[in-house]
Amino acid sequence: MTPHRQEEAKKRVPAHVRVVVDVHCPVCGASFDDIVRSGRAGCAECYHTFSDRLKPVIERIHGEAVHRGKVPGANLPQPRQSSQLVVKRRALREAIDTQNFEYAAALRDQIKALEEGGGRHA
Amino acid sequence: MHKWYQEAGEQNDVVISTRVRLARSLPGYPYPKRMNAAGRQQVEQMIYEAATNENAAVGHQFAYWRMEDIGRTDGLSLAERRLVQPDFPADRMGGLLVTQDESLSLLVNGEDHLRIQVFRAGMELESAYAEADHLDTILDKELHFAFDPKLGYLTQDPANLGTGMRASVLLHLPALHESGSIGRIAAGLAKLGLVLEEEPFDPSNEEEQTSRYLLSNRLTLGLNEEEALRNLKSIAQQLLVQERTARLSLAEKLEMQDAVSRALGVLQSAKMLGEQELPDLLYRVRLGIAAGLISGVGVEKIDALLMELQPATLTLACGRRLSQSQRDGLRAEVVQRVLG
Ligand SMILES: [Zn+2]
Repeated sequence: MTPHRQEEAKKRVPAHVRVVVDVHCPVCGASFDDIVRSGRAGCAECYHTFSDRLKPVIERIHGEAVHRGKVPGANLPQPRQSSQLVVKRRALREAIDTQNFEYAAALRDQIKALEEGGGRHA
Repeated sequence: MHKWYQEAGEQNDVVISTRVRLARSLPGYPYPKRMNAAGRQQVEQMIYEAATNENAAVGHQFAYWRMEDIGRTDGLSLAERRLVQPDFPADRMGGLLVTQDESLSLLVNGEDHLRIQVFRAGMELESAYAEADHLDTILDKELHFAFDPKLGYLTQDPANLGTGMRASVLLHLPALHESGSIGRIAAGLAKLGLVLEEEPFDPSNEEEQTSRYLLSNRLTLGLNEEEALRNLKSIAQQLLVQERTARLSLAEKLEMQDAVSRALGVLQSAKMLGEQELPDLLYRVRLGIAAGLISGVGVEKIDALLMELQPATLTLACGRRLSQSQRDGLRAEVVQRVLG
């Protein structure tokens, strides 16, 4: 292949495919390969960690459908964001207890983002 | 002890039972297969506490089976009663919380962290779902199940994303089976997102003439629970009509009347009934009762016998080890108490 053709070939590969090759899920340690090989996610967080690359996998099964069923907590008088915070803080405590520090760090960022977002709207 | 499968359910001439299950998982924990024993123990503990917390209004008394230390016969019997998959006890990883009547159970650390299962006799999709939904809502307050607004409940198998709900009705379709039209019907249903498949009584028994079929929903994403249940119910209703129509002409045939009478004769007079021959005989009699050829007994009695006379379940009920011939003898006695 000429250098020119190689450049062309690279352009056809979406950028994220090259940069995330070694990503592992912070909760369960699964790689995207693990998921594809088993046909199963390693944990719930995998769906976020690999959301871009799982999208076509999910679409192959379900089409472009989005969830229209039950929403947890919907029947409780709870503002969505604060209930998210409760959940994430609880998960953070557990992550620290179980020494799952990588996941704890990810949660800390998410909590910070939620708190800042909440502050703007308050 | 009263069990759900002893009840006479709606439309039970064709519908044996209804099952609804919800798959749920906990955020921050790998799915059971990727977790070590300590992690699984922690998940089991959390679910156990949420389900047995007196303040949480769960309102059920659960028996608690841990697969790690369950006896072989107990494990086999749970599988016979369809409370767990046959390989679940042998994996020794999970647990099962089950109410005394066995209609409601929580399967812990199977494929997902939690599966809420509800069984009902006959056709009871709405009430079975309502019960599962209610318990899910209560448990979610404690456990905060993993959920994404677009993908719904985050299950181990991407095929269950969305509602995480699998609803099914177990159907007795001897006339449609006999007519050879099931394959064509199943192919049509697949296009509508429904699965109709044989549900042999004993998958290891190749002699068995299966006339039991499981109709279930496949779609979980893009439609809500009520819509999925409505689709399933309306298709089930159409199958019921077809089966009943086919039974009318079948019941007029002398061959069929003969088969029913012979089956009843064997069940009423045999001194020993083997586990392999029993389902065929009982299902033939079940058809005879539903078609009005046999009177004085309801089909629910047959369904209860089919459940209770399975080898491990029968051994447990008897309370002691039985040889094969003792078991076959006991089976004949129990059958004749009902059909005698
Ligand atoms: Zn993961």
